[in-house]
Amino acid sequence: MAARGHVQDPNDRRLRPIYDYLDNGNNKMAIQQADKLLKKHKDLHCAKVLKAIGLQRTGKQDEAFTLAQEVAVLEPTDDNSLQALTILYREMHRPELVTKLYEAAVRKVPTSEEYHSHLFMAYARVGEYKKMQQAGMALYKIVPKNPYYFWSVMSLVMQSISAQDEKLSQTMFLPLAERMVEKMVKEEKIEAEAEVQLYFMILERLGKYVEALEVVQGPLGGEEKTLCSSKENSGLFPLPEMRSIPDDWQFYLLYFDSLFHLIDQSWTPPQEGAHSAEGEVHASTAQALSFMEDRIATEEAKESKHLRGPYLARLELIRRLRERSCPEAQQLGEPLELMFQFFVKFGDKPCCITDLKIFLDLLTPDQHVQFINRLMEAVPLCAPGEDGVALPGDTRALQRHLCVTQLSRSLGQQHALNTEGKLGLIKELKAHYQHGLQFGKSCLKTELQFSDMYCLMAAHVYVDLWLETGDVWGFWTPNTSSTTP
Amino acid sequence: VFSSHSNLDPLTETYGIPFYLQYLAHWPEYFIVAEAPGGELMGYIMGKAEGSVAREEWHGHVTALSVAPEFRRLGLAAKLMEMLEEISERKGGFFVDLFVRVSNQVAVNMYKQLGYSVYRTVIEYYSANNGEPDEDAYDMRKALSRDTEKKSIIPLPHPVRPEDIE
Repeated sequence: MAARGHVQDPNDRRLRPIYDYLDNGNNKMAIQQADKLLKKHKDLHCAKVLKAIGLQRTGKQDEAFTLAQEVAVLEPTDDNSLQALTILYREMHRPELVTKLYEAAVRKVPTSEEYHSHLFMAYARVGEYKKMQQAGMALYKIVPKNPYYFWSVMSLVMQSISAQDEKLSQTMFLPLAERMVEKMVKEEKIEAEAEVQLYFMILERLGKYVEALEVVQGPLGGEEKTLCSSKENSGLFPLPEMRSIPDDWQFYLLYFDSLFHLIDQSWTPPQEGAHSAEGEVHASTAQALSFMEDRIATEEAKESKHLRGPYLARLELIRRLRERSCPEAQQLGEPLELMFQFFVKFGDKPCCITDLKIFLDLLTPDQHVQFINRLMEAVPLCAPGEDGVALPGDTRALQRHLCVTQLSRSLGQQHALNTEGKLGLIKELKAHYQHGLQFGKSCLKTELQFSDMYCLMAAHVYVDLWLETGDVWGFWTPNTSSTTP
Repeated sequence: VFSSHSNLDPLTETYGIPFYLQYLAHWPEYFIVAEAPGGELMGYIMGKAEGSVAREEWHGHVTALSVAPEFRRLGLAAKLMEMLEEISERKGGFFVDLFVRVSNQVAVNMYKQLGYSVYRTVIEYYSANNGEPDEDAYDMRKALSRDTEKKSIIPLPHPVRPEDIE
């Protein structure tokens, strides 16, 4: 990780201690040090600003502001003062003052790339898009780097988006932005994917879908191309892309969106020639079903490192078919069974909980108990101890048990218990938590314990109880040997 | 990053909004986020490219990488690193580097497994926030294809201070 510290290392050794005091939250000492410094060097502007920051942080807003303005009025051009003032104005929620600051700096040092850059950012904070556009071009004139040019283009698009007058947007801002990008394309100066995406966005907003598609399919289009081309009006989603990118959930969603869009439009593939520039396109439920079966078969054939995507996609397809009252949904299988199989494969991974949660609504209420029981059967637990609690023998079993417990909570089974039931549940959860700590003996102090979630869940059940009965039921009794943060 | 759990991990640095925005503005292609089917943020990586081409120091840099606890053991960190390395290759970088706390054994081992080695130690790189001592960092590197002789990863014989970093 990069080191923290939003203030750059000051060159001046004298200021260093004040920065340190401020970073440590010791505002009193910061102010004191600044005062000491100012007695000896009364023109050390930065020290004044740092003192102002200290004052601001101790609630003396007005005094801080007055002091800061003493420096601001002199229109400083040293890095330290500028940065310190920026921090101060930010903390005072006065971003417009930062623009004034850098406008002055840029007037005094018109060739400074850094000040122009800060000015652009300052305008961005207050949403002054037109000024951003100008600042971007000014930057580009100083140093012709692509990002600066495209910041200007982007500002034009922002002006178009925020324009009250739609006509102005279509006849002025967007066409100008389009011409600016076209110039770069002609001069073969396009460098980044983001620039092409911006171009695509502009064309889309102008309603120029054919041109947009051409851009994306042409030499400028990169890996993002299929995502873009399927989003626009024709909605065709070709297959080859799906196979090349492993386990991208977005692709499955787009595939389904496009499929049903085409079905609703009664689209039929052309008699001759390719369906689309990229390849085959699916437009019927039968094709989707067979595609899904293919993907699953590929996963099943693997010995290890199964991807979760295809299995979840199958559940998603069932949901969509059911929403459209398609009887074909049944051909894909019974959700309870499919989710059970998913648990068998991936239940020892924490993500199994969040993965399955989204499909719990595919179960009918009277399937809930059966579902949880089925899952629990697949959790390897040791024989119950004298307190009747059966415990897992290793971390994988623990994670599986945790998964089932959390899913049970999601289904509302914990809420449905009466007071006695809930108290019993808490006892069980605590037992699991305590027991699980043994697996985490080698965990560093900064890591989560394997069984931490049990503790959290017990706390939640306590809260449930309190909400229902108004009693705190021993919630505040500390758990022994808990190192949970 | 503030509503997901990856930044609640004590070993993930949390910077100010301007820091993140600067990265989004300057190096958007290096800002990658992984989202779970339910919409949860699984993890993210932030990076940049810098350094002199003439001195063969043009390189990709991993500024921050974090995976939420619920989504660990899925190979996500490796996948995000791979994507960043690929982008750095496309940009013609000589190597990829990153800073990691010397005490963060889990991370150091993970990067070693991904092909990184310790290039140098940076003394007191990480400043502590509550009177505790600052912590050293390892500067770890992985050579890319442009560095044919793998010169960029020959370790330095002595540690450096933060001021000495380019």
